[in-house]
Amino acid sequence: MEWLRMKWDRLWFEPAPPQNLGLCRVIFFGAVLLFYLPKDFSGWATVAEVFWRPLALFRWLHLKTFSQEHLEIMQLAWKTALALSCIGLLTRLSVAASFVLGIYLLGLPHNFGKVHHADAILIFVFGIMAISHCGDSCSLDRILRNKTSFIASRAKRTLRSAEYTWPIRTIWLAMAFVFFAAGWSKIRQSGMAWITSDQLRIFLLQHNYYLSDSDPLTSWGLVVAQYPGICHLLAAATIVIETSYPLALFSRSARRIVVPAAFLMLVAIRVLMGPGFEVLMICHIFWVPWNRVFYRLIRASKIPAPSTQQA
Amino acid sequence: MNLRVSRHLKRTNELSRARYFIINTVIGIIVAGSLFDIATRREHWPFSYYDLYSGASNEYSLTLLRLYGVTESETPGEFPLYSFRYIQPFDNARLRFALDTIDAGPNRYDRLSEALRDCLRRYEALRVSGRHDGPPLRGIRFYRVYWRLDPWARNLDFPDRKDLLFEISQSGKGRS
Repeated sequence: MEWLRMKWDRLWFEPAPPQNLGLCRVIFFGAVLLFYLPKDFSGWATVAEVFWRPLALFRWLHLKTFSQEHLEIMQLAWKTALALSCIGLLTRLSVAASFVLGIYLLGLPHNFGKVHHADAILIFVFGIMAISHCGDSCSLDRILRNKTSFIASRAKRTLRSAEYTWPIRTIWLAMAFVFFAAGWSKIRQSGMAWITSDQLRIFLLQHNYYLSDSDPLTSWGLVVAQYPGICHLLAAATIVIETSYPLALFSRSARRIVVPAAFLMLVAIRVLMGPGFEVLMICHIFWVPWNRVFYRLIRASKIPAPSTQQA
Repeated sequence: MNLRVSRHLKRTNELSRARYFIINTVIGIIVAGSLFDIATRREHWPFSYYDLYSGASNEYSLTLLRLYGVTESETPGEFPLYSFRYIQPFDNARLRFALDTIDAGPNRYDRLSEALRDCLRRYEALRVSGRHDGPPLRGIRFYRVYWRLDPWARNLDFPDRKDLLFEISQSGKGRS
């Protein structure tokens, strides 16, 4: 039992420096803000009651569609919270607000007809970040509190804590479930037929008939569909990538192959078929060791390292 | 072994008991919620079993429910309403599923009338406010559209069959 607990703690609570989580926060909230900035949720207030089919969560919480004015205020508050979370000002409050308002605003469209799967992962990421110490580095809070530089001094860089590991690993876990569930659904419902039948070829053709929530970025899907062998190969690769994604949690080697492959798969879906998994693409930033990338860039550009005098 | 245990204790001791419990509870909720939905094939947003595109078939065809706008010109024409700018805040897929549910549900006539009238009202409101440059509509038709798939989608604008399911006009009542 002790052995198991040690393994468990090693997976989630291996001490790490704060910079990586901080940089992930900056990039993640910045990207989500840019993605949702042009999106307007207030239009849902204008949709007739006849379309309303509440999610279980909305039923339990007795949530309804607010008026257009209230939705406009809510989305302004949410986007402001995303911006504050990005720069790390009032980080705890702003990330918590991103989470709470995000549940309502991101969930609202799913009460009208269909649950799209693309953005559910955000709720997990917001929730995890809300209880993490993601504002300990690369934040204005940090600068204002300690008067240190944005990325923290060399002495601070050496501080390591379990608090900076578990949020990133838990986000990996949530992402692993998304991919594994998608792969497992295909195996469970269709088995090998998903690879051996013409299904992927048919999907590629169908998505050029304005089938999805967004259109393919190119007509290359039609070109790929002309080659059944490639379609079977892509179908097999899809199942392998999706079902093996959880391996990336435990194996560094698997991480180097499966995670970029999954990211490329999402890009290929967008380009060839249309459905937009941009949010899931954004979440892949949590797999990148940004602190190492950042310091490498600093070294390459020969910018003087942050001051060491303020620990 | 002692060294390993002491490292382990160092790792977890920096978290308070309550904090350690909360974090493990969060991890447990994600694992349990995800596994439950995967095992039961039920959706409890934000958890899901992600069954998108999980079916397999060799049928080179496509059947869709789709709205068509009936224009106000002297020789009335119709055009498909799948573009987001015409049907927002819905997207093409969400509106199709929503209409499918209403079409198959109880009080079909009243509910479809209300739904299509709502789509027409929003289309016109968006048009008048300059959010799209589509023509004025005098009604909306709700079709089941069928294609034999063409290898280069050349028949995109010419479905093999269109079955009219419902129709509403600006002034009159709905027609099944």
